[in-house]
Amino acid sequence: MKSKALLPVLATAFSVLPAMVLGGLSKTIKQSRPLEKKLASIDNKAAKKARKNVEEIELAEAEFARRSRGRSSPEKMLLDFKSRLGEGYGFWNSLESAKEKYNEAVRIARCFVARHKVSIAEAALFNDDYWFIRERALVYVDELKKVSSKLSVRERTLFDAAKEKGLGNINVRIDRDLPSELEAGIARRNAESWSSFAKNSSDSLDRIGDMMSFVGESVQQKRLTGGNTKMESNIFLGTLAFEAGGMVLNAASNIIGSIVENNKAKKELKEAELELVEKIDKVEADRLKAEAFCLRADEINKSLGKTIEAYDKIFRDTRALLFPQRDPSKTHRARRKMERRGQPYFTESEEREIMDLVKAAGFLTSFVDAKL
Amino acid sequence: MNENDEKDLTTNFQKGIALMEAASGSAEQAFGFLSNLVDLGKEITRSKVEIRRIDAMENYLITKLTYQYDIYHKLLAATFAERGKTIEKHFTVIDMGIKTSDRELILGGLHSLASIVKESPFTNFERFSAAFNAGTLPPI
Repeated sequence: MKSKALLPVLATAFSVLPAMVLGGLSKTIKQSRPLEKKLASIDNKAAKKARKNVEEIELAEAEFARRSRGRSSPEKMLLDFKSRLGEGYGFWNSLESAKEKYNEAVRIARCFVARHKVSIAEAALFNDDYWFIRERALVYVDELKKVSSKLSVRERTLFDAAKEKGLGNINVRIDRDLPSELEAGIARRNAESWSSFAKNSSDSLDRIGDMMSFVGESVQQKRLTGGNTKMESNIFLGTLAFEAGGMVLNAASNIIGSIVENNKAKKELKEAELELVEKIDKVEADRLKAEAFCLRADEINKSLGKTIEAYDKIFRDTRALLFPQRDPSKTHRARRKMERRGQPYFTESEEREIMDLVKAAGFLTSFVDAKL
Repeated sequence: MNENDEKDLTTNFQKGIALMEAASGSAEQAFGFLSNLVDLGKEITRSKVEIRRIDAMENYLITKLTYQYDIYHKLLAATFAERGKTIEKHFTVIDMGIKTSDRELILGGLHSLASIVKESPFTNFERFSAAFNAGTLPPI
């Protein structure tokens, strides 16, 4: 889900609701200052959080663009890599070519991880958005509680039953540690095996080099200290041939040793490459979870937003009906007087109106409770 | 390796030692060198087999993960697009109710909306992915 696709969500959170709260609700707001303050405070917090979340999404997108610049999608890169799997690790390939192949796998894995970070940042935005919308819903439900205390016993029981559905939450565990886990894996490989590969290969080459220079030095020394007679020379040359032959064999054995070590290093690189592919699988599973979460949270958030809008309409109408502006017989004070005289605080028809509000509150709580 | 191969190997090995001995003047060194050579052959074969085995695993994993997640993402998108259309219709009903102050319309719209949104689409999705992974999807 790209950040442009998130615009409707942001619109829901920061245009529709505040507009509804500050515009359409003006009448309610005048009657209920604490409600206005609470909603405005939630909106402020939500706006700050959303700005931070959008920044994080943009950063993650920039990183993903940087990592995959000039290349196709990570999947295409991986499939292309798959078509050349055998390359780089053959007997005649140098250790460098195997390293290059492994590095290519690292670059692809980092692309997957960068895209995963985008999904995680988007999921965080949806998650925070949900919690702020939920908070708004709770403010409305709290307002209703004040009215409910004035309901008759029968209606209050109904209200409590609706309320007792409880306010749950949606939650999903997204493995935010995966990218760092992958990076740690690569770093570990680099720190341990990588340097040991490099060390092994350069050590063997150094040893071979040392051996060869030693042979050269021996020849040089023997020549300098060699005998003068032909016989002495022959003895000297025979000894030299014997020693040099042994040295060459030793050097050849060392070359064999270095080939074996290189081969082992290639095998280890190949194993590390497989580990990377396994990690990509994990990263993709997690990204799928994050995307599923975003889609579901978006659905719940929008529905919750619409329900708040509908609830607000009923709430406003009900308040206007229960406490009309220019009717002194229906003020709180007048109603309390009537209550003291043994008459109900609300009439039956008024209670029916309130119950519509209770029903709407039930829908609010059901969205808050909706299973992911 | 059959008996003849073993004989050949032994003969070649002995010839090799003789040659190396002639070159170096030491049977011990020649033997050591040829042993190393044989070990190298074994190591190369072992590595080749191991690398091929890893290649096969990688090949399977890459194929699986690219196609599997592609299908999952498409399925998710299609599921939510379908639900989105229905949800939008209920939004329209609720909007109409708000506009005309028709409480029945509002509550009716909310009721239908809740019946869809409360139901998690992931139950079916989980069932699908389990069948997909087990290869037990019914034929289309």
